[in-house]
Amino acid sequence: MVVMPPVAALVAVFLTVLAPAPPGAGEGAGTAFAAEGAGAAATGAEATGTAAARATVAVTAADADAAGRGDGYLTLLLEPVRTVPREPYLVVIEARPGNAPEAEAEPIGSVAFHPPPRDGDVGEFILTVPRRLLLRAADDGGLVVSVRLMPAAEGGRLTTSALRIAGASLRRP
Amino acid sequence: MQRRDFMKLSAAALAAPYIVTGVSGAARAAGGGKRVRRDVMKMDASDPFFRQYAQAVAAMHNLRKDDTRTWRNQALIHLHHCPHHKEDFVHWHRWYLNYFEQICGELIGEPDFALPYWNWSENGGRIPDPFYDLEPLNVVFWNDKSDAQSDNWGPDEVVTVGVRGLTKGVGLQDREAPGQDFFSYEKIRTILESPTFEIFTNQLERQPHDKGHVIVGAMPQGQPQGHMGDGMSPLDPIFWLHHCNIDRLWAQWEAASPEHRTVISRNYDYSNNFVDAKGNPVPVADANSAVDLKNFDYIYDTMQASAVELAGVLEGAPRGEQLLLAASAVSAVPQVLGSVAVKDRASLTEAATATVAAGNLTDAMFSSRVFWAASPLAVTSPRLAVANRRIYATLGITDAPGTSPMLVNVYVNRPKDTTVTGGPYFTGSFAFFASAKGHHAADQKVIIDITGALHEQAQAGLLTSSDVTIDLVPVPAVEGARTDDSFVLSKVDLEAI
Repeated sequence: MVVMPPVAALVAVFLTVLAPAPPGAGEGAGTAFAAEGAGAAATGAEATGTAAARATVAVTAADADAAGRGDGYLTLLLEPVRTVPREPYLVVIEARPGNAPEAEAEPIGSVAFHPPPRDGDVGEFILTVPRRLLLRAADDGGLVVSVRLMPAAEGGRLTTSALRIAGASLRRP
Repeated sequence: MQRRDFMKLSAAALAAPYIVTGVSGAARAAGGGKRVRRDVMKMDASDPFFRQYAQAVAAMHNLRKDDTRTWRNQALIHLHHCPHHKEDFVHWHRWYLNYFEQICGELIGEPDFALPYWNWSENGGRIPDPFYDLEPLNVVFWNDKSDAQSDNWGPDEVVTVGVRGLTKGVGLQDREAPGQDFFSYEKIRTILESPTFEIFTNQLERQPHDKGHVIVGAMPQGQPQGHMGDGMSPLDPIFWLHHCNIDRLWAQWEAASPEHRTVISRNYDYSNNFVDAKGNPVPVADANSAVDLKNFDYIYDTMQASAVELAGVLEGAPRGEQLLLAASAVSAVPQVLGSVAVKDRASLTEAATATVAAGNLTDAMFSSRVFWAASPLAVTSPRLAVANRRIYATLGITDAPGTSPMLVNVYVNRPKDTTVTGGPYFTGSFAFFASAKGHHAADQKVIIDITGALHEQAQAGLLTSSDVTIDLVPVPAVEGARTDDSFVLSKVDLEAI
């Protein structure tokens, strides 16, 4: 089942072509996104155990204002594309202002699939974006969101699992 | 211990129910007549709960297969009916826990039995040792088969086994990516601050809930996965405590604001989803009747005892009495975190400093207090409300000046010589004014709310110790102020309310 956020809640979102990340930053199988407008699903880069998928979300001053004095919220749609049994994983999500170096990316969430992931079943995840990060992103090239997988099991490793970012948008409470 | 031996032990324990009755009965009394769900992380391994729960798990394994209350049949309820990633996720599970708890109590002859909650923010998010050491609480001991399929859960048969990926002594927080702490009090608090139910329930379910399941059940690649990772997750005894914590956080979010409406537009019907303590199907249950905790026979220990006790008193009391009682409950008893006596003189040329070793600081900072909120203007009954606990520093001041053109800036944990009036270290200012007793006033107390500064420091990763250092930095309030005023900081008390 594909879950999409309510269109009314979406705010000026686009997914952009991304420059490769610096070596060692986890960039990998990264096919770029095409800009497809508000909340649209897109074929995109795959997040795996060794590579991150990235999307850029436009952030306007109005978005920061909408958050008032509080934090902002990001809706992320993640679609498992290669799922194998017995390879449990967590999904680590980081964000940074568009013009900031990769080293400034900070974790904004860590999620998982329960029930276990199934190819094509898109999960909707809402993540808190600290207000200060939102404000910086509004002035500094939007919000770059990166997603990567990590083994959930102690001593585990991921050889096959992958998912892609099917959508990313800021939402107004 | 062999299973047969445990059965003997269970029988012996059942023969002496006064042991557990005394404890639980007292807890129920403290809970205003309701079962009290406590924090399992703060229980000693000898707490009667572990033995009681082990008895219940064993008893459910030993029921006839056609009894709806068997361990397996309880898990099948989850597989067949539970909603996940839907708006009534928390609603359905509240009913599910409620009846499971009653079944446990019935089978061990302990009507006050209450499930505790697994507070992942404590002790690194470890599963308490008795869930490994006491065999009936260790999923490995039973080695139940899952082997079931339901379209409610998914097209595939669930084939998990009785193992836990999270081994003894390893916590959920250990399984996070390096440097991440999404099970910490601070991060859970961000979920509790969600402004809408949609945001709250998504974050609660998709983050700590889903991750808890996956991590506990996760075995290395290629090995059979543990029950917690899939639809027959209730086969692991820790499942029920995991969901109690979810339910507790929902209860806190619900009560935090009148804006936090969790009545959902579609009232899902749960008729005959659950079975009661006697094993009979529950004919009437739905999503929106789960919203109000008053419909249930339990409460959480994070709800203040005074408020809990008042719950029973308020019911049926005349309106005027209700308001008075509720107002008195709002005045909570402070918890002393630490105290230090000093004798440090401050003047316009010298700051005064005191460091307090504050036990339970982070616990107090990231916990909440529950109280009856009422207004004389309110037309509805008083309701439970939740707010973050506040941390106050009470400053003992001696040899203080009378009216003085001096402001005293108060800093918490400031880096050396910082005097910026803003940022995460500055908490505010006070002044001396109008002593009728001459140049020097009598001993004074100044109370400063340092909650905001501590939270800011925690969020920025600057709070690295439970020691709290208070700096008082006098500055001239007007240009040309005389510089000979001074005072002595004599004591600092830190309290959480």
